[in-house]
Amino acid sequence: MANIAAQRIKREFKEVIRSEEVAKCAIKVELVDNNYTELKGEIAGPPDTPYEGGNFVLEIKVPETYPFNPPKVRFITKIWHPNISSVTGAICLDILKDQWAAAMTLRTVLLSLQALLAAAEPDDPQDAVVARQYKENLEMFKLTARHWTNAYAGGPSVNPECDDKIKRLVDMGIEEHQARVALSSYNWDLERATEQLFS
Amino acid sequence: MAEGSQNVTLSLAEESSINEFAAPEARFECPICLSWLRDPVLTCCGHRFCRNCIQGWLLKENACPVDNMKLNKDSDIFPDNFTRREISQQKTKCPNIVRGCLVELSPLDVESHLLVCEYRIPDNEKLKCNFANVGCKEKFEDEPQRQEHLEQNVQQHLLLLSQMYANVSVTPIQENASSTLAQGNFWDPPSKHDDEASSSTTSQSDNLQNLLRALYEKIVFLEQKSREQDIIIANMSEQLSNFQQNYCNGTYIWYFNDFSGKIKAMKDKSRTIHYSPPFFTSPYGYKMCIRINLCPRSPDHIALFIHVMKSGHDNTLEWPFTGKLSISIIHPSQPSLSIKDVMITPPNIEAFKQPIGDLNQKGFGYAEFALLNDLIKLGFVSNNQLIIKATASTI
Repeated sequence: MANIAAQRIKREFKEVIRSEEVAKCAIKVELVDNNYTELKGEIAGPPDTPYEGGNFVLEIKVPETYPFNPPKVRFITKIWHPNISSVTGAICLDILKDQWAAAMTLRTVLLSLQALLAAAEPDDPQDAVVARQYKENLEMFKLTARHWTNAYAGGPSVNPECDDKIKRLVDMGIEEHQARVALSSYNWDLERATEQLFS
Repeated sequence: MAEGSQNVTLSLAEESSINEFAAPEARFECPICLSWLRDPVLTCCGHRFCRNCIQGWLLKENACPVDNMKLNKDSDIFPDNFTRREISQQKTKCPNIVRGCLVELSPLDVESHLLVCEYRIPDNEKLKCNFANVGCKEKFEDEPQRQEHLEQNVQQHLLLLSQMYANVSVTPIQENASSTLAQGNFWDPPSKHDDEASSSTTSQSDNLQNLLRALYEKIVFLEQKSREQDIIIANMSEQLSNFQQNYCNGTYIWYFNDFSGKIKAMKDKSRTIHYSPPFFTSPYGYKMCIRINLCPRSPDHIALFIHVMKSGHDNTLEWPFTGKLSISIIHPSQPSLSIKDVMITPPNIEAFKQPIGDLNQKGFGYAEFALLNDLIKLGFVSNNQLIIKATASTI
């Protein structure tokens, strides 16, 4: 890895570790290998959003050309969000693409992602299904996102109705995550989800 | 891969030791490399960078990395000689000043100076990281530096440890496998395919698995068995204590413990009554107990009564109970002082009728058996214990 990238990441790593957000448990970074090319990030779901109470794990890959190119970041924790793929965790955020600037750091990236959770951009979606639900039925979107936060990110809000519908599909032999995706995509309409799964 | 990562760690190690002495002020820091501005330039939007850093950035972008202002790499970048002069005047002392190096130099030159400084500690005399054994290459000039390194690199050290663990944890199992196997065979019936089993590693680990499973099953079995035994022992000791009461043949000695405490409680609450454990006049005889309380009429006296209790075989007995009863308070050291009273059951009194409840409400005995003060004065109470004896026999 180019020297400048390693040096910078090492400095930034210290910056994040010492930042007040870490003290408040809002963000966190950990090393994955000891040559600073891959890191594990973690952000707390922002308060007053469906993601509140959840912890979202991120994969951060630092390219050789860092900081001239942005770090490659994706969500490891499954999440229901218009700008994040519910399948791959890929993120649609301008600063991770064309709006990256060399003066940005790991800390600002993590804080931007946290801000993205609080303010989705459905008009620039990564996940079209989620984005459509967000625009057409905001309450349904919030319910689904909250359920996913509970199921994958350790969020506190349990929705027995969702769990029940998933269980019914699981009882039919559908894998749990697949059942959750189908139900989430069809606004928790059990009949339509079943139809899609078995057609 | 190993070599590559080592190189990186080494260059980081030197980097950080400079940092401790020369972390730049914000206005001297390049936002791209986060180090001291080297050959500083100023953009038309008012931001400073190292010349190399911003040129590298503008090769692929055409905007300022800080505020996104459009920048032309040829016309919007100017040498910042003012800052260059300021930085060159920032004289930093060589980190080796603690060992006598008096050189003062620009922070930009510290790195190159350290490599040649005659006061530098030779690499082999530096303090090693406590995690050197597992591959941390960092070295330190003094203890505080090492401490700081240890605090800041907890995760990296854990990572090294876990990598090392992944490597070593396999070897001892394989080395010890034969001895563990031997122990395993000690318990297990010999394998039918003995030769194959000991030859390949996979079947060794299979055997280990089997041994573990067998041991686990044994543990479960033994635990269950020990639980059963516990229950049997508890039942037997309960039966045994019943036997003592059943087979006392009408002579029961009651060790009345915590005498002073109980007497005080009885004085405080005059209705307090204590009953002895039950005893039988014969194995299938009458069930009785002794009752002690303070005489309600004159609380200086101890009252002792015998109560008839309900038992499973009451219907086989003759009622009312007729016979001889005696109550004594035994002197612990001088038997001649013991107080004894013998009573013959008078006919037609409530106390000896067949009990309806657990115990006949009425007892038979003495409301003023002995003076409390006498008992204490004459030394009946020893070790805070009073010995009461009752005998009951049918006529």
